[in-house]
Amino acid sequence: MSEATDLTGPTQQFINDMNSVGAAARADGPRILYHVVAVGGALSGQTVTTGVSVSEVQSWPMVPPHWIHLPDWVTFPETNMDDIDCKPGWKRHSRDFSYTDMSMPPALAWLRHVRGVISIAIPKAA
Amino acid sequence: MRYSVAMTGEVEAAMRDHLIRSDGQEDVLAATYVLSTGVERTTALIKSVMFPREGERHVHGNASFTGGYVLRASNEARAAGHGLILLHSHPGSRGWQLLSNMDWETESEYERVARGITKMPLLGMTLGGRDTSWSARFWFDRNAPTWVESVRSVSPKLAVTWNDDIRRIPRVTRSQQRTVSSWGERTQGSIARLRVLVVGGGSVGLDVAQRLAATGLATVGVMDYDAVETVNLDRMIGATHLDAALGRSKVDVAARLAKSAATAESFEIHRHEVSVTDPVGVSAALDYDVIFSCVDRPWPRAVLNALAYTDLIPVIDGGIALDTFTDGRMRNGIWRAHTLVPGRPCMACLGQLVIGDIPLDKQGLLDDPEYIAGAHREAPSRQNVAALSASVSAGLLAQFVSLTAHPGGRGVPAPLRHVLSTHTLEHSTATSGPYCAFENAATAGDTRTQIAEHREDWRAIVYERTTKKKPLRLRVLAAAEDFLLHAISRLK
Repeated sequence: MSEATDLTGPTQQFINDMNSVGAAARADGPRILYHVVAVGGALSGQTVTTGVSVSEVQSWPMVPPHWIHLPDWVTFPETNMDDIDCKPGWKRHSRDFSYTDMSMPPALAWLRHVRGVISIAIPKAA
Repeated sequence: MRYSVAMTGEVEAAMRDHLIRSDGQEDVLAATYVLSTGVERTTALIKSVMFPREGERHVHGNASFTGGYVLRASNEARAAGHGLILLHSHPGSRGWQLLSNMDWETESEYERVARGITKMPLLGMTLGGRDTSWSARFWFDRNAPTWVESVRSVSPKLAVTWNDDIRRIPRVTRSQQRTVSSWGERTQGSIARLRVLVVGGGSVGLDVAQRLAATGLATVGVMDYDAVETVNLDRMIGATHLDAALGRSKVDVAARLAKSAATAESFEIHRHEVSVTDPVGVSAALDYDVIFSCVDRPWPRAVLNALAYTDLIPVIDGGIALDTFTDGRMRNGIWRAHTLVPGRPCMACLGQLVIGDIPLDKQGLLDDPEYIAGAHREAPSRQNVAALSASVSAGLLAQFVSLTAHPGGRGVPAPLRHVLSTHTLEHSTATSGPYCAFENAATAGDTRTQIAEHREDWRAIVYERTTKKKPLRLRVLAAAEDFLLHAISRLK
């Protein structure tokens, strides 16, 4: 795990901002992990650990991340994905983030986007 | 290095309201600044105003600071990581103000206090009350100040006080008579001295650069790392088949055309063959007073959107979207023009910059057909028509005139949207979002969040172009063209 002193300003701010909207976040090597409770879909009610690449939050909060890290038992019907910066057994998934509403905190907008994506996930075992 | 000062209209109003007293006496004030460092210019961005408390200054015709006020202000500036500004007013004066012996001694004495505490040079400022003109100087040591070139107040109206000794008023030339008669010599003298950067040398940027030069501006910059191709010739008015055959850089073509359109007695065109999404492009952009955003991709637009607020450089932005029926006939065209300044919403708040597309552009995914197909996105539309792109440049230039000449005493309008099919001009009611990360970073200066990144891809494109040997026939034609242009430029 990365030491707090290694984190850039934008990385630390992303972690702080996610914590402030209720998603406990921590640095984990080249990624930041946090927990999200799925509010709909096949995973509804489950706490899912997800994350983003540290390299994607270096212009936070002006530029949000894009790729969503998830364990590979979480899949989607149609998605671009790869395993850059991912933990072993994880994938990064791509979903358009059409965020233009500046009336909410950027971290809350990101969290809602991730929740929305997770709500259409298909557990592999299902 | 050149120096300047910039502040928001809100900060200017607060300082002016304090310094211009109803009893006509002078007054003093402390404020703080951060730096915005370009390649050739360093700007002090005024961050906060620290009004004097009871007993912290004396008003007795000539106002004076107490040592306690200067110490408090210095310590508060240091705590925030800012530098210290000491301001005073000359209520009955107009224009750029020099220092009286007493003012010189005061600032010279406090220079060591300010530098010792804040580790940054003292900035002295004077307000001429008769015409709200601001003058400023840095004290890098206690012996003599270094005067700045200009002080800019940035709001929907851009107001600049020029130091005529450093940036001289350009002489009005015979070919500028009709321009000057439209807004007067004073406005011409201010507009002509603005350093204006056009980012993007395509159809709109090329047009804008030429018209700025024809308006009499003495310094115009053009930034683009791309080259002219045959496919551009239906929109880049003035670019030739020879330009396309040679693969000339867009900045070279813009420089040639702007020089030929220029009416200033002495005209400088700065060619920036770089990307604004790279730190070298950002540094170059920080040397300018106004920027035209003539680019359409999310990443460069995000960089410019940020600079408008973090570094108080007004950005004039716009674009065009053409829509067709399935059979290819035209359905509609919409073009927009808006100016990004404190007091007006940013591109994101306007819905003109989809924040979520910025990382895709940075990662090259918007050009990746495999990714586009996998994401079920539509490829970006490429339609454009020369007859309509002129409407975009006209819209941007009208914003520039409103920003700098304030016709009718008003500055830039609300964002404008022209709908071709219904022939309507709409004024956007969009407002700034309370959580806008761009606008909330106003006056960050050198502490701004970096959106630009060092990249090799555009450098490789420029290197390949500049090192590629051209066929002899094209080189002969280019030499003949150069000779002719040089001969024509000598005609007066």
